[in-house]
Amino acid sequence: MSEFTESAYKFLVIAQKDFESAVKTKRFIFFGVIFVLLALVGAYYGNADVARSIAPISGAPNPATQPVNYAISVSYSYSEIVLTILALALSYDALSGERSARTLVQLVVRPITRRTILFGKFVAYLAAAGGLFVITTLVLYIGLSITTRTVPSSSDVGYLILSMGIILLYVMSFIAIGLLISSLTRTSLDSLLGAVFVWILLLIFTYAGVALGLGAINLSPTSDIPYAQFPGYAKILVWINPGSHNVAIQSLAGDFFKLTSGLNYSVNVIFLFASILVPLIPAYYFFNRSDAV
Amino acid sequence: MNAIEVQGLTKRYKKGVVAVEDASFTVPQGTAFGLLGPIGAGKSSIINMLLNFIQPSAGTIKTLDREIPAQFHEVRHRIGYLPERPGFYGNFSAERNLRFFANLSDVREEREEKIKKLFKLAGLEGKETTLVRAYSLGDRKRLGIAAAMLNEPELLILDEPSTGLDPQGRRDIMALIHELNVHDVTLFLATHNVRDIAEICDVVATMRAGHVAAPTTTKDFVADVRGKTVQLEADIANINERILQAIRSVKGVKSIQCEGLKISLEYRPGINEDVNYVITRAGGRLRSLHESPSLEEAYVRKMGGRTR
Repeated sequence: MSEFTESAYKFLVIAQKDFESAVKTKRFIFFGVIFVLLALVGAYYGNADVARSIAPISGAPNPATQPVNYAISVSYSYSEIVLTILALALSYDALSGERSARTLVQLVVRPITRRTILFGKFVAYLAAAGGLFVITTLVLYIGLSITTRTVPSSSDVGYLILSMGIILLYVMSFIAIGLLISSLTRTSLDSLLGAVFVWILLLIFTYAGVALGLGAINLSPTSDIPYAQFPGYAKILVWINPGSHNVAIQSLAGDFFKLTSGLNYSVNVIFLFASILVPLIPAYYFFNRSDAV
Repeated sequence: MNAIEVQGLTKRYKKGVVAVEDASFTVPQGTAFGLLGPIGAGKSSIINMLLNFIQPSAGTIKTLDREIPAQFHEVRHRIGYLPERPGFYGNFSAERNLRFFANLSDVREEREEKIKKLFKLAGLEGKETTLVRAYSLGDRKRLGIAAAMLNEPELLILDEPSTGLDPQGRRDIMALIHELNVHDVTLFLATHNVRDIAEICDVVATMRAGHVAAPTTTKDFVADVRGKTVQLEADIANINERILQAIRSVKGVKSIQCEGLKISLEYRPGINEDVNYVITRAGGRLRSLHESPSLEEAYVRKMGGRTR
C-alpha cells in the first residue's frame, strides 16, 4: 500500500470506530431525538403557515411559490440550535475522553499520525450529526411533498441541497470547536465545562454585539437589525458566532442578495469556512504536541 | 546491536521539577532489562521519552538504531508498549478492540489468525467476545500484552506490569512476559517491584530521584540486596537428627537452631533451593518455609526504608 492509501485506510478505521461509538452514546440518542422532534414540529408549523397563506418574509422561501422549502425553513429555525449542541456534545471530549480512558496512548504508539486520528474523529462526528440532519431533512422534504401533493421545482431541490451544505458547514464549525476544547483539556468533565462555557459565550457575544451595535446607532430592537450600520467592535462580536453566518434559510429561498449579519452571501459562506478552520488548526497544533497524551 | 541507547538523558518539567537527570544506559537486543525504582523516581518519564510522548530536555535516545524523537516514526511499528493501566474501548469486545488496533498497526495479512494466536498466548481464550468493560484488571493486562504484541515488536516496553494484580494474576502475567523474552523480544521493564525484576530481568538498573545507577546483572543485584546472610525458618513435620545433619552438610549454611518442629538457619543467599532439596531428600515433610528478610524487605532495607 502507498503511504497515501495507508493513511486513508487508517483514517477510515478511526472514523468508523468513532462513528459507531458516537451513535451508541446516550447524548447522541438524547439530542438526536430532540432534534428530530423539533424538526417535525417546525415542519408542521411551517406547513400550517402555508395552509394559512401567510405573507412572504424577506430572506425566507415564499410560502406560496416554495411551500415545501418554506416548511423546511421553519423546521430549520426550530431545530438547528439543537444540531449545534449535538455536534458539540459528540466532539467535546473526543480526545480528552480517550486520554482519561487511557486509549489515546494505545492509539498514538501505533504507526498512525495524529492528524489522521483528529480528522478521522472529525469526519465520524460529522457523519453522525450531519447524517441525522440530512436523513431527517430529506424524509421531511419527501413527506411534505407527498402530503401536500406538491412537486418541488428542480431549483427548489437545488436550493435544498445548498441549504443542507450550509447547515453541514455550520455543524462542522461546532465539531471543530468541540475538538479544540477537547485538545486543550485533560478530562471529560473539564471538556464539558469548556463546551458549555464556549456555547454560552458565543450567545453572549451575539447578544452583546447586537445590544452594543443598536446602542451605538440609537435604535430600539427591530425585526430587521441594521448590522451594516454597527460599529466595528459590535460587528466583530456578532461575527464571532458561526451562527451569525448561517445562511441556510436564505439558501432555501434562493435569495443570494440579502445581507445576513451585515455581510453578503458569499462572505458569510467564507466566514463559515473560516469558523471551521479557526478552531481546527489550533486543535491540531495542541493535539500534535508530543505531551498531549 | 543495542535495542536502546540512552546518553545523558534529562527531563525538566515546568516549575523546575527534574524528573530524570543525566541518565545513561544501554539495553542490548534480546535482553530483559529492568528499571527498578520507587514510585515517583522518574521511570515513567523515561518511558514517555522512549515512546516520544514527551521531549527530553537534554541528552540523546537511540531506539533500534534510530534517533528519538527525530526518527521515532521509523521505529514505532517495531515497538510494543504495555501501559500500567492499559486502556481499551469498554463497549467493544476484546476481539473488536484487538482488530481495531491491528488495523492501525499495519497488521492486515493473517490478521484473524494472529488475533486468535494472541488470545491463546495471553490466556484469554473463550473471552474474545466479552466486552472489555467486564474484564478484570488482570485480564486487561493480558489483553494489553496481546495488543502490544500485534505488530510482533522487537522491543516491548512494560510499565509496572504487575501493579494492582492479585498473586495468581501477577504470577500469570510474569510467566507470560517471561515467555515473550524467550522468543527474543527485548524487554524494557519499569517497576517498583523487586520480585518482578528478579523473576524476569537479566540486567537491572536502579533509579531514584531521577538518577539511574549503572546497570548490573540481576544475579549480582539480588546477591547485593540480600547481603551475606539470609535467615530461613522451616517447619518440618518429622524433624530428626538425620534431616538436621543433611542441612548442616549444605555448603553455605552458617548456623542452625532447632526449636520443636521448627528450625532456623542462617545461610549464604542463593542456596535456599539446595536446602529445600536436602530436606526433602532426607525424608523431611516441609510444612512451611519462610525466608527472612524477603527480597522486598532486603531491597527496602537497602534503600534506607524509603519508598521515594
